Amino acid sequence: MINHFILSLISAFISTIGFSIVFHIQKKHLLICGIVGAAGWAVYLIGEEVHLSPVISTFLASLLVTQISYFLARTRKTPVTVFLIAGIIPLVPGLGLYRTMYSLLTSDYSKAIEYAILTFELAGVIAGAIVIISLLPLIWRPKKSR
Amino acid sequence: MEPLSCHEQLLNFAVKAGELMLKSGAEIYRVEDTITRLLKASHFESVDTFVIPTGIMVTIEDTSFSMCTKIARVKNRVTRLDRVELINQLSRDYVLGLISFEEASSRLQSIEQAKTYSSLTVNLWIGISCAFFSIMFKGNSIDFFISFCIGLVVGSMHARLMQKEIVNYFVLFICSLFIGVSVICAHFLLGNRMNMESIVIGCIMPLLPGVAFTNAVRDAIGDELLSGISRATEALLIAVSLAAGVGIALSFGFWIGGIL
Repeated sequence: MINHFILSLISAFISTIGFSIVFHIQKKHLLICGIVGAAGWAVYLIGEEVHLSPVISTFLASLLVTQISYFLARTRKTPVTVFLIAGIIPLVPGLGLYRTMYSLLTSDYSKAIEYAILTFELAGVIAGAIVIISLLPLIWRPKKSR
Repeated sequence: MEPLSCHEQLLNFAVKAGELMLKSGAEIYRVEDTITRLLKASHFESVDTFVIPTGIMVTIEDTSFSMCTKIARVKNRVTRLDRVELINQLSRDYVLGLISFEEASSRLQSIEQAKTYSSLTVNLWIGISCAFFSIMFKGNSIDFFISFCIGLVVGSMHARLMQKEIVNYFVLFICSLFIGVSVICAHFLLGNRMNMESIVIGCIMPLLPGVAFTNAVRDAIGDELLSGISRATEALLIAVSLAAGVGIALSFGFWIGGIL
C-alpha cells in the first residue's frame, strides 16, 4: 500500500513537471511546480485512504494547491497562474469524464448520470477552492482610501 | 504616411504587449491591468480597455490630442506561460521607471521571439506525463509503456494539426479519436493484461481543458463575467469533444470485437 502511495506521488511529481514544460513554464520554476502538483495529489490520496469522498478530498487538495500557489507567487514575484495551472492539473476530473462516457457506451444511464454529476461536482469544488483562497484575504484588506 | 506620434507609439506598444499576453494564455483581468498600467504611466487623462478572449480594445484620451483607439483581434491562442511571466515583469519594470520606452519595446520584441523548449522536448514530455498519469490511475508497467507510445504520437499529431489553423475542438476530437483507436488495437493484442481505463485517462490528460478551466475561474473572480462564461464554455466544449472522440472509437471497437 505504502509502495503504491510513493509510486503515485513520484508519478504526480514527474507528470506535473511534464505539463509545466508543455505549457512552457520557465526552467527555474519547474521543480517547484512539480512539488506543488505532488502536494495536491498527496492530499487527495490521503483523503482517499481515510475514506473521505473524492469530492471532499479534491476540495482539500485544491485548497492546498491554491494556497501554496499564492504564497509562491508572492515570494517569487510570478503570476499566480504559473503554479496554479500546473498544480491543478492532476486534480482535473479526467476519471469522471471517462467513466461517464464509458457508462453511456454501455447504456448504463443511471451510472452515466451519477458519474456526470460527480465530474461536475469535482470541477465545481476545484473552482470553489480557488475562489475561497483568492478572495478570503480581501475581507481583511484595509479599506481603499479615495 | 506621417510618422507615428508619441502617444500612438505608446498605444501600439501597450496593445502589442496585451495581445501577446492574451495569446499566451493570461487571464483577462491581467491583460486589462497590464495595458492600463502601461498607459497610465504616461499620465493620459483617461485610459479605457476592454478585453475579451478574442480581442482587445483600448481608447486613450488627453487634452493634447483627440481621442485615440486601437482594436486588436487575437487569434491562435497557445499556452506560453513564460511569456505571461516575462511581460508581467516588463510592465512592472516600465511602470516603476527602471527602463525607458525604447528598452521596453526592444525587450517586448525579444520576448515575442524568445525560444523555450524545442518541439522535440515538449513531445517527449507529453509522452512521459501520459505514462506517469496512467500509473497515477492504478496502471501497471504495460499501461505505462503503451501510454508513453500513444502520448508521443498524440503530442506530435496535436502540434502538427494546430499549425494548420483548424479550430481547436476538431483537432482535439481527431486526437482523442486516435487515442481510442489505438487503445482498442492494444486491447485486441494484449487482452486483459492491460488496463484500458488507466491508459485512456493517462493519454487524455494532456488534452483536458485545465488551462481553460483555471482561467475561467480566475476571470469569474475578477468580475469579468463575459470572459468567465466564454472560457467555461470553452472548457466544456473541449471536454465534450474529447469524450466524443474516445467514445466513437471505443464503441466501434466494441461493435467489432464484442469486448464489454
